[in-house]
Amino acid sequence: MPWTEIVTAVLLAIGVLFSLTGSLGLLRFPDFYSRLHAAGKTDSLAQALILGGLLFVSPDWGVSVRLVIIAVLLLFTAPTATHAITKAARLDGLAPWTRLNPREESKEDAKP
Amino acid sequence: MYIATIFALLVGAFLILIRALKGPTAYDRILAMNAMGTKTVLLVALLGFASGRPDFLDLAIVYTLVSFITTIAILKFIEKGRLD
Amino acid sequence: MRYVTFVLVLCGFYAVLSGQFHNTLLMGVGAGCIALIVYLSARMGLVDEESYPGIGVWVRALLYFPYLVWQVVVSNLDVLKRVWSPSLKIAPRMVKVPYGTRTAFGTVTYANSITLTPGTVTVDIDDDSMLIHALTAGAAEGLKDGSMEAQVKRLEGKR
Repeated sequence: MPWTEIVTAVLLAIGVLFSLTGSLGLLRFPDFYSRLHAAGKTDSLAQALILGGLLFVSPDWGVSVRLVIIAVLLLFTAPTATHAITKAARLDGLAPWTRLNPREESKEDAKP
Repeated sequence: MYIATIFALLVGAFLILIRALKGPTAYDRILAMNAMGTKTVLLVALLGFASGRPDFLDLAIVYTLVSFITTIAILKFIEKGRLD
Repeated sequence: MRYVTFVLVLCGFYAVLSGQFHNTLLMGVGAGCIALIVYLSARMGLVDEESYPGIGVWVRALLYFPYLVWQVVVSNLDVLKRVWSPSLKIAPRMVKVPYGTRTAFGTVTYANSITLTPGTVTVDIDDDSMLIHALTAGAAEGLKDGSMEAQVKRLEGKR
């Protein structure tokens, strides 16, 4: 196995680990705002690692350029979409979940 | 190698799908579908490499843009009740 | 000047994606598409200072980038730790953090960078402060020491 394929395998493995973390976090976290942490953060790193890994085994420069274009597009659109969702939820008045005496804190902090 | 990665991504997509089905609010569902879009792009790219046809990457580029516009359009519709 | 750059970027994009230069029909369609895109962008008022900042911003952005990547890696490891720990050690809260960036570009970069740091997500922006959702009390405190704001201000440049 050439060294490029080993690098690709390692990058794909790490990327998938982060991707799975995001998915599991999306499922486990208690409310919308904390799910944002899981979904929004892991996505950008996971896609960069996986597409970067594929870059090492791309057969010609056209494929490499396409991989870079996808990575850059995702890098810009994913956080923008996350912010748009957050803003929409915020305007809708979605209250955050808190663990320590929920009544006082949510009243104190949730004011826009 | 590619097949294993694709399988792991599908497991992740399944978890996201559960959240999209359960999601108490509409925003949870949109967040889940947005994450699903990113997963799909990666899946298409990997599928292209696994089958030895990297031309699939063009589809991945188009899907990136369409999925972003879909998310924004749905949010705009929820916020304003219309799209124009 | 901005239009020239814009057209050149679009031409390069089309050439790279189509990968051929000999088919007259495809090149013609490409030129038509570019003309349409430039017309629509001009009508929407997209070709302005904000989309095409000066060269200095690009250079400073290049210096800012490694710092940002490092923050992304740290925050991902943080999320990783919390998600896979059985007890789910989080105590989410909303905090207000004041900001002192001057330009819209700087403010947006600061807000996005906060989203990328461990345990914090920007929810809303007022005129002088940002509403941050933090996963733990520690994450909220870490933001207030202002090291990140200093980095963003350096990116903005001085005037």
